[in-house]
Amino acid sequence: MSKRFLSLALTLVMVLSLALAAVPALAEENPYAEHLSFTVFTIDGADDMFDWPLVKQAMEKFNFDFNIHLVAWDSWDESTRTLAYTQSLPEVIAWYNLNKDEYLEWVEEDVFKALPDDMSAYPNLQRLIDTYTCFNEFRVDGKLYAFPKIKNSNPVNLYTTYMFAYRRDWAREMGYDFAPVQTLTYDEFLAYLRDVKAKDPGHMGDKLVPLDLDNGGNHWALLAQQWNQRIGSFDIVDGQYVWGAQNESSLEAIKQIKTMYDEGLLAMDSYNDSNNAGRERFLAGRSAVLYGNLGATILQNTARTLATNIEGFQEEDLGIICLETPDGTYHVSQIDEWWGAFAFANNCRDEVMERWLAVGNWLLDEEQVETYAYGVRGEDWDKDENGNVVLHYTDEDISATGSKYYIAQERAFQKYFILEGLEVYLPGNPAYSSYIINDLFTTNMKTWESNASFAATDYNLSNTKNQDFYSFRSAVINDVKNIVIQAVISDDPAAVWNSFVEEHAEEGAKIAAALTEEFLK
Amino acid sequence: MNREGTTGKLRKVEGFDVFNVIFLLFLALIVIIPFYYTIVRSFLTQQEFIMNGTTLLPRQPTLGNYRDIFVGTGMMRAFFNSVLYTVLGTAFSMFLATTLAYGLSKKNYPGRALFQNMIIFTMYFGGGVVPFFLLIKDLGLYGNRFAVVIALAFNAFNMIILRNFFEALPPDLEEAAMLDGASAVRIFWQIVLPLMKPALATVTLYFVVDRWNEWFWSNLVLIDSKMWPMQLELRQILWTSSQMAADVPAEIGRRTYAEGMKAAAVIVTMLPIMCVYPFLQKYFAKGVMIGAIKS
Repeated sequence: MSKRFLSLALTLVMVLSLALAAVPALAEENPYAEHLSFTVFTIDGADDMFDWPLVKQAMEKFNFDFNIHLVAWDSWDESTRTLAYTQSLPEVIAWYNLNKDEYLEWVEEDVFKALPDDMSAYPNLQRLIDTYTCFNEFRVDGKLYAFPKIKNSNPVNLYTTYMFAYRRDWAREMGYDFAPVQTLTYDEFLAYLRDVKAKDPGHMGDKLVPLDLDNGGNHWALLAQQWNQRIGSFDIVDGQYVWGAQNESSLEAIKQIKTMYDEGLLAMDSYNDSNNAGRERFLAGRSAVLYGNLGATILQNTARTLATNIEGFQEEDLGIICLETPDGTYHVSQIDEWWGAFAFANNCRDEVMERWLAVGNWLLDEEQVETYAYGVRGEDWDKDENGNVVLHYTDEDISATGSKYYIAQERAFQKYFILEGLEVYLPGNPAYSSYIINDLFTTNMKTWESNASFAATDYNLSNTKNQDFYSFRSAVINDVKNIVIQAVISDDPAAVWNSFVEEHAEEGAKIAAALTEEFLK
Repeated sequence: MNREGTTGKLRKVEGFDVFNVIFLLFLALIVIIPFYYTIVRSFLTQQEFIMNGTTLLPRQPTLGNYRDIFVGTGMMRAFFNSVLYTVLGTAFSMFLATTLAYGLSKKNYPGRALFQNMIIFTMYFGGGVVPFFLLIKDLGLYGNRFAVVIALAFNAFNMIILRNFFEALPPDLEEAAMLDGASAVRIFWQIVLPLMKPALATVTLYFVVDRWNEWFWSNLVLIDSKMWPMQLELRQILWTSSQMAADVPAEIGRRTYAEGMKAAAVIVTMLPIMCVYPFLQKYFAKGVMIGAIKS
C-alpha cells in the first residue's frame, strides 16, 4: 500500500514538475499570450467590423481587441492636429492623409513613437522598406516614425496611371481599326477627335463630348503635361534646376488645349466642372475619350458600368490611347508612392506596437490578401483545377443588404495597414477580366515602357530647407492650374501665359539657383 | 388698382407696392429654385441627370438615393442622437441664456458692466480649438455625450438678444409682483418669461438650428461613432459612397450616385427643422425685431 502510495506520489510530482516546466516554454512559444486592448484612430470602420472574418481571425491569432476612434474624413486634418497638439492621439494611428511637412514637425514635437530599428521580425514589412525609396524620405535621424502605406501595387512598373480611355465601338463605327491599346501622335489624336465630332457616332447631337477630362479644369494642367511634364514644377536641365513653366513647350500645350476647346472637342465649360463630372459623362455614354487617373480597378469599373449603361456595349469596346510625342516618346510620370501611413502615439506601449506590426506583416501574406478579396476560403470561395477562383456567392449576397456584405467591407481593415489594390493582380481573380488587366492595362504600361520619357519624383523638392521654394510653390506653382485655364479661354493665350511667366521668372530663377546650390553642387 | 386694407376699405395700389411684390417674388424664387432643384435631383438616377441635366420633373423617379442613405447605415441611430443633442442642448442653452440675460438686465446688478464686457469679449476673441479641447478633456468629458451638449451651450449673441428684451420690459410689472409677495424666481418664471414668448421662440429656433447642424465638435470630442449625430453620419456615408465608386471592384461596389445622395442628404437634414419652423413662425418675425431694438 505504502509503495503504491509512494509511486503515485512520485508520479504526481513528476507530472507537476513537467507541467510547471512547460509553462515558461509555452509562454516563449506564444509571443501573443498576453491579451491586449487598445484604440485605433481612423477614418474607416463599421459597427459590425469585429464580426468580419478577417478581423476576427486577426484578433484571435494575435490575441487583442481594439476600439475604433472614427473620424469623419473631411475633418481628418483638424481632428488629427487638435489631438496631436494636445498629445491626445490614441495608441495606434491609421493615418489617412500623410502630410510630410506635418509629419516632420510632429516628430520634432515628440508626438510619435519610433518604429523598431530592426524590422526583420516582420519580413513582409521589411520587404516594402527595402523596395520603395519613399521610406528613406520619412527617416528622421535614421528612424522611422510612421510606416507609409505604399500606394503602388502595380507589378508592371512605377508609372502614374493617368491615361486616355476611348470608346472602341465608336471608333469601329467610324471605320477606324484601332487596337485595344492604340498609339496615336498628337496630330492623329486631334484628327480623331475632330472626326468624332463630325460623325457623331453615338448620335448624341449637342450632348456629344469628343474628349472629357475626369476632373474638368483641375485636369487641364495635367493634360498639359503631355507636352511639358514639368509645367507645374522644377526641372533639372544640364545639371541646373530651372522653373519648368518657362519651357516653351508650356505654350505649345496651352495652344493645343485651346484648339480642342475652341473647336468644341473638350466639354463646354468643363474648366468649371466638379470632380468626376467628366468621368460621369463618359460612363453615361456621352464622351468618346476620357482622360483621367485610370488604374486597373477604375478601368474595370468603367468597362462594367459602360456595359450596364449602354445597350450592346462589351468590355472589349473599351480601349486606351497612348499619346506619342513628336520625338516618339511617351510622357509618363512617377506615381506617388504613398498616400497615408500607420503610426504610433508616443505613449503607445511597446507590446501594442509589436502586435500591430505583426498583424500588418501577416495581412501581407497572400492567404490574407485572398481572404479580404474573396472571403473565407472553402466557405465563400475555392479554386478550380485550373487555379481559377470560384466564388460561392452572388452579387446580391455582397450588396449592402446581403448576408456577405463583409466581403465588400473587409478591405477597410486592410487599409489600416498597407494599401488597397493588392488583390487586383491575384491569379484568377474573377473580379477582374483578363482583357482589362492584360490586354489594356499591362499592354499600355509596356507600351509606355518601350520608349518612356519618364519624369521621376524629385524628392529633393520635398526635402529642401529653402523656405522661398515653399512660398513659391504655394503662391505660384499652385496657380499654374488657374493660369492654364485663363490662357486657354482667353483670346490671346500667349499674352496671358507669358505675362504670368515673366512676372515670376526672376523669383523662379533665384529659387532654381538656390536648389542647384543645395542639391546639385 | 385698389385692394382691401386691414380696415376693410379699399386702398390704392401704388407703384412701390408693385415693385415690392415683384422684388419679393424674385427673392422668393432665388430661394425656391435651388431648393426645388435639390428635391428633384434627390429623385434622379445618375444616368438621367447626366443625359438630361436639370429637369422640372424626373422622368423615372427613384428612391434609390434615399435608400442608399438609410439602408445598411447607422442613419436612424444618428438621427436619434441628433434629436437628443438638440433637445438637451437647446434646453440647457436656453436655461443659461435666459437666466444670465435676466440678471444682466438689472441695472443694479453688482459688476454688471464687467460681466457684460467679459461676455462680449468672447464674441470677438475666441480661445481656439486646442484650449477648448483641453478643457473638455480635463473635465473628463472627452468621449462623453455631454461634451457635445455642454461644448456649445452658451452663445453670447443670443444672450444679448434676450437681455435687450428683458431690459425693454416695464419694471412696474415686476415691482407689482414683488409687492404682492412674489419671490425673484417666481417673478422670473411666472411673470417675465411668459411675456417673452416671441423672443424665446426666436432664440430657441437659433439654438435648435445650431444644434441640429453641429458636427465639428461632435467629431472632435466623440470617440465612439455610435454617438455621432446625423450630420457626421451623413458625411461618412457620402465619403464611403464616393470611395466605393472609386476603389472597389465592380462586382462588390454599391452602385450609388454621390450627387443624388448629397441632394437626398440635404432634404433629410432640412426636413426636421422645416417641421419645427411653422410652430415658431408666428413668434419669429416679432422676436427678431424686438431683440434688436432697445427701448
